[in-house]
Amino acid sequence: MYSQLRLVMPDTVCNLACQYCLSGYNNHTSCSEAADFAAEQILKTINGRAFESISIWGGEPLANFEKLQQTVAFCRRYYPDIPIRIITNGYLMNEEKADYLNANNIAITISHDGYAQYYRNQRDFLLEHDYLNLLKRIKNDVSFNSVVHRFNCNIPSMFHYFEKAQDKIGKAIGWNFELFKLHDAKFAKFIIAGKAIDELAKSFDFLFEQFEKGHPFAYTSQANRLNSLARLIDEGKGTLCQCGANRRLSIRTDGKPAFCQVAAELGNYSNAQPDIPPMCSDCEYAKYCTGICPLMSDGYRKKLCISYKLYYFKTFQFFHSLRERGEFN
Amino acid sequence: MIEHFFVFPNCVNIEGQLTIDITPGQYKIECGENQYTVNRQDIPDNSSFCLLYDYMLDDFIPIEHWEKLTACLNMRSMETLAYLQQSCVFQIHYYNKIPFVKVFLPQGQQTLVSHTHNFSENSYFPISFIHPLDYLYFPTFDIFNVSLDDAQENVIIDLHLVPSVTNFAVYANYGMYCLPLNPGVNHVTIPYCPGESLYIGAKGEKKKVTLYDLEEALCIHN
Repeated sequence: MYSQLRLVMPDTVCNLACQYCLSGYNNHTSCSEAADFAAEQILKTINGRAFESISIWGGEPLANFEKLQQTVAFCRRYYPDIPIRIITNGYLMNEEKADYLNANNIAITISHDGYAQYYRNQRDFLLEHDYLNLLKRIKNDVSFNSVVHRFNCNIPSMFHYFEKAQDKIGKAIGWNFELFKLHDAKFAKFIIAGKAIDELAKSFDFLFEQFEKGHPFAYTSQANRLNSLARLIDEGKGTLCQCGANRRLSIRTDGKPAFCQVAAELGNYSNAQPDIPPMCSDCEYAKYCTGICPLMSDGYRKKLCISYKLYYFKTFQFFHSLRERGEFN
Repeated sequence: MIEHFFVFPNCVNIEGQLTIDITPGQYKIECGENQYTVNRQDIPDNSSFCLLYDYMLDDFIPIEHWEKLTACLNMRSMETLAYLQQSCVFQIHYYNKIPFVKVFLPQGQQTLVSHTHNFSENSYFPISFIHPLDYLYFPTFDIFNVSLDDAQENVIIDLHLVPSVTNFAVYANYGMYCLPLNPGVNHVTIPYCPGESLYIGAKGEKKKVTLYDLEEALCIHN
């Protein structure tokens, strides 16, 4: 069963051109495909499946507001009670859009790298009073997602940044992170290397310490991952794609299915499988990491291996210490 | 000197505690009664230096141009060490004038001791992290297509290169030819040298770990 339906609006524009965007750092301007919203085709691909949640991805959903409204209307018609979340860079949020989110009971996840936001070459809206008021106006859950890369691998400082933002917004926010994924050799400078590896190791130690202390950021970012790990270890439920893509059904708004939202955006319709790549066969964490991303070639995979191996190394250390104390059984 | 410096605890069967003092241009390595000073200026760019420990002699053996030795033997580093029945305590690769250092501590020693730097707060990883680390510092590549031209005189190679994090110049080394490569997609045409393999690395470098068997890719079996 798929836990989530991901609807991706691939032919839409993005207002930013973040250097390490998985969708290719191209503002989507090269995409000439102008697909209409294909409700029938989407329903056919869904084939009556049930989901626990729906997430909507762009381009940038808020930069394509009409299409977003179409997509939300579709979701609410066929899945009136399921939580919907949109993934946005947040720059185009305004009162009208905040009210729309409230009216349709939609949560948001904002991609934001904390102190390292300037690597996106954009202003940091979380320092602006008016913007914080906008976030306060949103009734549903507001979460942030940070990319951990070579210049942004200090998780304690990210906690500090988002705790401050939380105080200013005046309500609880969520936080999660993802490790940097390389899909273009141009952005090799973001690969975690040198002293950043040590910093990352300490960050993971901090993260799990905070998990034990019940810090909400540590909990929201790690609880699902630890539960998945426990299920995988105890029930041996096959290989799990480390990003969870195999537990989601990703469909473009033109109705075409794709392996994940990145594949959907890039127009890659290959039926990728989270199998263990041959180069990973000797790795003790291969079953859990499954080679980072099935869409990635070995040349990239090798460059990212250290940060993912470190994550699983630290996760397993923590997981086993919990188990020894009778937790997570 | 310690930006790309990695320590693996509990690795080498050697008596005593390994100490490394790092000063500009020098690594002074001591273990038991043995000591050796590695001078940075003595190691040419794009080359490796290894400090081995010989159990029989109870002494250090310095090996310059370790990459050439492994290339001559057509072995990987680990295979070469096993073949020589030696253990490595210190290895330095210079790429683009940036030192990439790996230190292997004696069994039972968990942290690196130094009079010049504090390594006690560092994170230490098991030896299984060595390959992912090497992947970072060596160029990695994917070869999409290999073919011979109609006259069977040239090999045409489509490859994708992800450079080392030290960003040194990378070449396709094949037979007597060295062709510079760019990060990303490369379309290389090179005279066909029967029996030769392709290596991707520093100019002229032929490490087994970066070997690509062109004959096999071309379905040519001798």
